[in-house]
Amino acid sequence: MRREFTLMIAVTIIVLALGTIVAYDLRQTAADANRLRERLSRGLELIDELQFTTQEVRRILLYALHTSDANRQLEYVEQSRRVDASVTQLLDHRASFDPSPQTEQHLDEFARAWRKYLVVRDEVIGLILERSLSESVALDENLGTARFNEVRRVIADLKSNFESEAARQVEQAQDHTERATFRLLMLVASALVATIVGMYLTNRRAALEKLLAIEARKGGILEAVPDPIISTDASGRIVEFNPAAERAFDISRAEALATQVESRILPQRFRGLLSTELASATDAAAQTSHRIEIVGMRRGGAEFPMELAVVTHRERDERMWTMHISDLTTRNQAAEQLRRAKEAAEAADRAKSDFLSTISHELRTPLHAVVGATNLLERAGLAAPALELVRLLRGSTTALLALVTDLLDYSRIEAGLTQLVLVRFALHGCIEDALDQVRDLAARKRLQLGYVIEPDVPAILVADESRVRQVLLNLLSNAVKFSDAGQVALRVRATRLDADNVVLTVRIEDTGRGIAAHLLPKLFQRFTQLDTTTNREHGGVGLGLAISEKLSALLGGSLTVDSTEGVGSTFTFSFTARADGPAGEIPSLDLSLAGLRVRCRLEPGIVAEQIHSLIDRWGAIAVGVQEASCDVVLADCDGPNLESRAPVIKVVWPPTPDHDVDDVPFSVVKPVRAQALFDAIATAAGRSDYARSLPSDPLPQFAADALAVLLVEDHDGNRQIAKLMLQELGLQADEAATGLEAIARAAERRYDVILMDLQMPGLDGLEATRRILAMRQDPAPVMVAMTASVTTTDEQRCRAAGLSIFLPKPVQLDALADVLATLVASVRP
Amino acid sequence: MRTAAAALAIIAAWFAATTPTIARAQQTEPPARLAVIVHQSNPLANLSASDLRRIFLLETQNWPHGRKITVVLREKDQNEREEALRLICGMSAVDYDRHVLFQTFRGAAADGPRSIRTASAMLRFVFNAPGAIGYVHADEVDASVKVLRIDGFDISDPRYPFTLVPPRKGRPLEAP
Repeated sequence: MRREFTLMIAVTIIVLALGTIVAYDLRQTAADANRLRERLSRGLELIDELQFTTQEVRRILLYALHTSDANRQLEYVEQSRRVDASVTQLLDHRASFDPSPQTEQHLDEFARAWRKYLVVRDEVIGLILERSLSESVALDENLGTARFNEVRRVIADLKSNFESEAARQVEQAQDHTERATFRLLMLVASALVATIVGMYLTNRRAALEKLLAIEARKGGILEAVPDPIISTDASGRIVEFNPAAERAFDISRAEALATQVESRILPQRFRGLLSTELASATDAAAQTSHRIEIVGMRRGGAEFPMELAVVTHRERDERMWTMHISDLTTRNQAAEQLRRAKEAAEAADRAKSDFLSTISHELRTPLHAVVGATNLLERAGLAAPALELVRLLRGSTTALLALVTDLLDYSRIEAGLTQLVLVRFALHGCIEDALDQVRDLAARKRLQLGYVIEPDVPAILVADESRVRQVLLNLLSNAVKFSDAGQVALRVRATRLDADNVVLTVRIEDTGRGIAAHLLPKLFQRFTQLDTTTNREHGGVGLGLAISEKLSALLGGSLTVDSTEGVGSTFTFSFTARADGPAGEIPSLDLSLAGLRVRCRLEPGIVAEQIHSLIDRWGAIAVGVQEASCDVVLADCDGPNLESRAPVIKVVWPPTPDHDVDDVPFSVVKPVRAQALFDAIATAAGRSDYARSLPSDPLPQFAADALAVLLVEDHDGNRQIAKLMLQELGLQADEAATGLEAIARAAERRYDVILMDLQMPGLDGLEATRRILAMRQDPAPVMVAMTASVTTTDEQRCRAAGLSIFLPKPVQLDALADVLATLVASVRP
Repeated sequence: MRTAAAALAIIAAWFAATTPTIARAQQTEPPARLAVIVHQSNPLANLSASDLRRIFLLETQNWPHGRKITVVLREKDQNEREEALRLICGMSAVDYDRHVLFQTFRGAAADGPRSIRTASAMLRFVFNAPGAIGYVHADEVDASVKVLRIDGFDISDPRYPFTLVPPRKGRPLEAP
């Protein structure tokens, strides 16, 4: 490259130098020619002038002949002589055109002839002036003409001679110029040619180098590619075969080249297939790669799965094929491994879920006994210190049970075992139940707790109430847990999906410490607590929100959070439900509070808001403080005592062991239950004498023979507890430890109720139930399933077997009492 | 007064610059002479006044060497013609013209004299015509022509016969 450049520079310099010389030469020649032309033209001019002047000299004399006036004649004569003088002058100027010796000679000849003529002319002049006209004419015609002709001849000779000489010289000069021009042209042309050739050579060399570089690069790529690459021409003959291909097919490149690709890389049975495939690829878009999965063959005949990515391209009007071959053996193996790994992982996951589920179940069974025993102990009339211990025991057990339940829940949800149990329920009841669960903690912290349901929210819903309550409870307990002051408010809105279904959006707003933005994404991960210190402070394993989120999704909604650190958090939980009944109606209100004037003296906050909303809904009129007359006054328990003529209902904190309910005539406990508020207002206003008893109902006492109960439970402890609970309720029960025993007992005696544990060794509860019912006693005993795991499938199986009622384990006294109370009513009307 | 004097002085100075030469010439230079001129090639050098008169009166028509004589005069209304004819021929122009008319009518002469308008033309005419004879004032002569002696007297000789009398002012051109 550099060499060509130098060469070109040298050539350019030489060409320039030569060009300068030739151009100078040409210029000189041109100047010479110019000078020559000028000289010649001057010479010719002079000769022409001479020719003209001499004739003029003679012509003027003729004029003189034609006048008789001496003065005029003299004028003509003078004219003639003046012209005469100019001839002399012209001759003197001969040097100006640098005449050749021959011309010089001619000029001398002319001068002689002219002088000879002038002698005659002078004589003629004299004769004219002397009026010897005929003589003068005769002289002029004879001698004068002769001499003048001589002059003319000489001039003509001179002229023709000069002209031919000039022509020759001009021709010479022209020749010279032409030659110089030609030389210059040749030089320029050769320079051009040299430049073009130089450029061509340089370009060619550069292009060649570039091509070689590209070639080398491509070669490198072909070498480096770990996969086989084979190129063929249109007829399928191999033109390129890279090292990877050599390795893959165990054929050397030299062997492979120019042979048919199919016979080289495919087993016998697939030959012909590739060309068909390729032909179809031709018809498709030419540049896109075409993938073919096929079986390849090595030299020894060993076969392996491979994938051909075929690209077609043109090389000098010929269609070429390039195949990129992937050995699928490894890929297939990898896929297989992956599948196995996935299966293993899934199995492990299932095993984990199963394990969790089993463990939870196993944990729950002994807990069942502990909870039951604690319940009974609490009612055994122990002395104060022991009672305290029992209460502590009960609290811890309940917490432990909740934890185990959570674990079970979570593992079930994750295992996809959770199924929704759709029931008809009152939304406000569900919310109030959840609020009640956190009531004590909120009361201890003096947190205001309340809820507001928008008027257009349907009162009765069909959904999985227990799951909804679970989520609400979870969110509420978090809110209460993490708020030290202020309030926790729950607000419900509804969006109709269609005629039947609504999406309910529950916002739970707290005034707690809030959550930092960067921690929000971690919030719904299981076993994650945002702050390790909160673990110690608040307990829990961090499953609550994870479960809630999964449950929200399961319920056809979502769970989101919006939080500002230091201000509070808002969790928004939505779920889908079927609306069953008109909006806004709170059920079981048979009285009307319409028109009642209620004055509220409540601190602003969620409680006041809730009460106002309820009063509005009931048609009562909230009156201002300044208005004198009212029927009822609602006041905060912490507010100043009021002197009022109207009855005052105090909104009080729930009783705690160290703080009893204020002794006021009318009160409602926070969080306010709608029914309680309604009752309190109605009673205070004198519209009803109905008042709910506080505290809640005591346990029902059944007559010993009210129900014939058979208790089937394999676990001794649990059976013992259940038996004690039944005794607490005043019932004596028969016991059976196995399914077979139960069947035997049932055969001996007809029971009203059989409490059947489902999971028993040997004959399980379902089978036992089936056999007992198969006895076709009349009336058939009511079969109650006691189970810790109730899924929809379980439920269906239970119902199929004839178990119509479910009692979750560990069995709680209240729940047992409720179930039995209903049964007493139906069995013994 | 002073201005008028200055103006007069200027006018006087102008006259002094122009007129005194004429005055001086009239006073200091000798009276002008009439030179008789012929062609340089003419072999004749001297001519008697009578021969000259005969030539001018067209009575002698050829030179001694044989060439025809061509007399050249000034134009008819010019003083030079008048004074030359009076000097050479002793007659007025009118008489001379009558004489020439008579001579040609008679056939004694083929042509009359040639008439030329100026002195320089006279010189050039004589220069061009070998047989010509003419006259100019002595101070107008140049080398192109030959001045004849008259009666053996050179023109510069005081005895040279043709001395011109300056014409008087207001004098009519025509002789009475």
